[in-house]
Amino acid sequence: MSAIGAQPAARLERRLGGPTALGQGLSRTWELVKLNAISDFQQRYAGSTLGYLWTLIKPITLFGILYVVITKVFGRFADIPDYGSMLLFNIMLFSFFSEAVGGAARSLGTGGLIRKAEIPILAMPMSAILATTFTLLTNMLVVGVWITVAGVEPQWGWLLFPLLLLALVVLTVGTSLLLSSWWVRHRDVAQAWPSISRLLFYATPILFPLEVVPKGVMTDLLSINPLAPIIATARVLVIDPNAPGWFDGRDPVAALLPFVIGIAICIGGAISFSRRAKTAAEEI
Amino acid sequence: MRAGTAIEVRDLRKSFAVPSSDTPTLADRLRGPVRRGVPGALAVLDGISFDVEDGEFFGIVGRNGSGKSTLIRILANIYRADSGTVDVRGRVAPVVELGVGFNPELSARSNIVLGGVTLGLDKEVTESRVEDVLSFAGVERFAEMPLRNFSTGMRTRLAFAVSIESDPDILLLDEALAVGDGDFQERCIAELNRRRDAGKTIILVTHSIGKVRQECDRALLLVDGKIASIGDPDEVGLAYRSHVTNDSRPAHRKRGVTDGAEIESVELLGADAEGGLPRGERIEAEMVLHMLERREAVGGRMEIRDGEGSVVCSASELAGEIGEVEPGDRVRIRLSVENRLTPGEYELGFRALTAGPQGNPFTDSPVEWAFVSVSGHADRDSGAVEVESAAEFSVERSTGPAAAKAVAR
Repeated sequence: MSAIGAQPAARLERRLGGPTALGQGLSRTWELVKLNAISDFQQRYAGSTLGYLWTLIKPITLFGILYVVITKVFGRFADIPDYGSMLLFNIMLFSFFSEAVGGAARSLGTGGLIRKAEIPILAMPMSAILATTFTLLTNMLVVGVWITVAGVEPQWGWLLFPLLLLALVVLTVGTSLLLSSWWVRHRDVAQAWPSISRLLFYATPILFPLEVVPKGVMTDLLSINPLAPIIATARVLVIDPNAPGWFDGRDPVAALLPFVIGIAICIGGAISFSRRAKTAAEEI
Repeated sequence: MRAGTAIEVRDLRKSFAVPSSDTPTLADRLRGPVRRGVPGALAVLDGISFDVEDGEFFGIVGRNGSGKSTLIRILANIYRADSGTVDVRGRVAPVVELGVGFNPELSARSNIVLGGVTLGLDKEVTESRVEDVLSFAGVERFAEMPLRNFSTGMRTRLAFAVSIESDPDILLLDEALAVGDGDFQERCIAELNRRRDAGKTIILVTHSIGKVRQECDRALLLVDGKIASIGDPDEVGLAYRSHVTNDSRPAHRKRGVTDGAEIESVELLGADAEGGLPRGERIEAEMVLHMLERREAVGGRMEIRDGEGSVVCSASELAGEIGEVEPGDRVRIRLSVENRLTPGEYELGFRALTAGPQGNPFTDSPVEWAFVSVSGHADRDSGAVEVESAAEFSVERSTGPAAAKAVAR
């Protein structure tokens, strides 16, 4: 038994104001995020024989199917340099976004935790995102091995890739905050996400390179999709520096629109979440 | 905040929106927006104020829905108050449920850290206390075993050990002691008392009047979001018992009043000032009924409950010889029952019984309660009443020359 009252530490006096997104400070939030993410990650694969390998098997399977269907069945994109590497890379990046947002969207309900302890509410979606980030990092190792074997030339653009990853993480956090705060009152969000995510998958240059997108609806869809410039730029930086960039041949206003939407999602998410954080425990 | 105060609550109010149903579905909306429930507000806490001192074991009692859990959650900063203030001094750890933050796939050791951090401790501090927690829970040998392989009892013990070893300045326990076997519960209570003696504050939300009377220094009774009684645990316990037994009765039957008579006084004879009853001597009480209407028969009932509120026995006596009584009459009833109670805490309840005229069935009054104790060494295993016993023994020997029947008395 520990010695109680051994160190009469100064007892802080405080007026309670209810829970907030960052309640009790950043360092406690970060500690909880880390612990819960690790626990979540371990739990996800506990008891399965292949364990963490599943984090690789799932995107690789999707890649394999799409690659065979597109290049062998439909015989498309044989002329696109390093198409296979691009497809694998894009799928890994998109899977992170889709899984992280899907997990974070319902995170405020996890274990009823926020109803049972004083938790910085932000820790809930953030630990779901961090748990998926572990998966992203292992997946990036696989991509690294793949593109080396596939003979992709090392490029200066690789040095900028972490910045791009950061942009992806920021967009992921913003979207997660928005959806998880909506989820408190509208559980439909969790039901809708798989469909929205599928729509986004096809409205982002993942399976097809940017240069083959026909003018019209598809271009318009890309212009309102904040993921599109991130994925397009990732290809330029990592796979093929000669591929067309996001701004190439695009009306400047239309090219900037997804950035504006992305920033709006992030700001809207932060505002919506910090508001909902105050009452989420009572409402779930 | 005043020095020496752990919690200061002032004019605390909290209400919840109560829509007629949860989020209206699309089908509801199609049926017409007019039919959608208009959200009302249910006042769950209605302007309450109280202080809890450092080193106090403080009880909060009330029926389901009285606002206890909401109050605990506001004190734990899980819910936000609508208005009013709550000031706390020191670290608060709520135990709304045992094992918050636990992950069944991880080892006991990892779960102790997870649970501790969830309750508000630093990771390093929690890690330094892992061995203490394991030993308090008595599961040292299973430190590396995944929690899902633990028995329910082991898991409960581990969860409680985590909460108590997190050593907060203010520990909020919401019914958490209702779990676990008797032995472990006693160890928990002993540990809580040790913490209290070291100056920590314990707040216990409970349904058990017995726990309030035995453990708490002060207590508070919540009725419909208001403080109905606060202070001495015995008084609060009596108010709670009376609230539970009497408030479900029709409103016109006021406290102590039956249809035709009211209980004017009840005096427990032979009890000392603290309600101590000598062991083995008859329990005797004198009730005085004040008649409000003409009745053909009157009587009284004494009911004995144990410290947890379970009825041990009840005895009713009717006056056969006094005949009809008129309004204004006073009826004195001396009621006594054999005292077979084992040492411990008990509740005595008294009711007036009346019947007639025209052969109406008996009606009984609400109960007047008194807390009593029977002194002596309390042995939990012996039950609430002592009974006379006798036995005959016989043995059929299987070996030896004395294989004949032996009888012993």
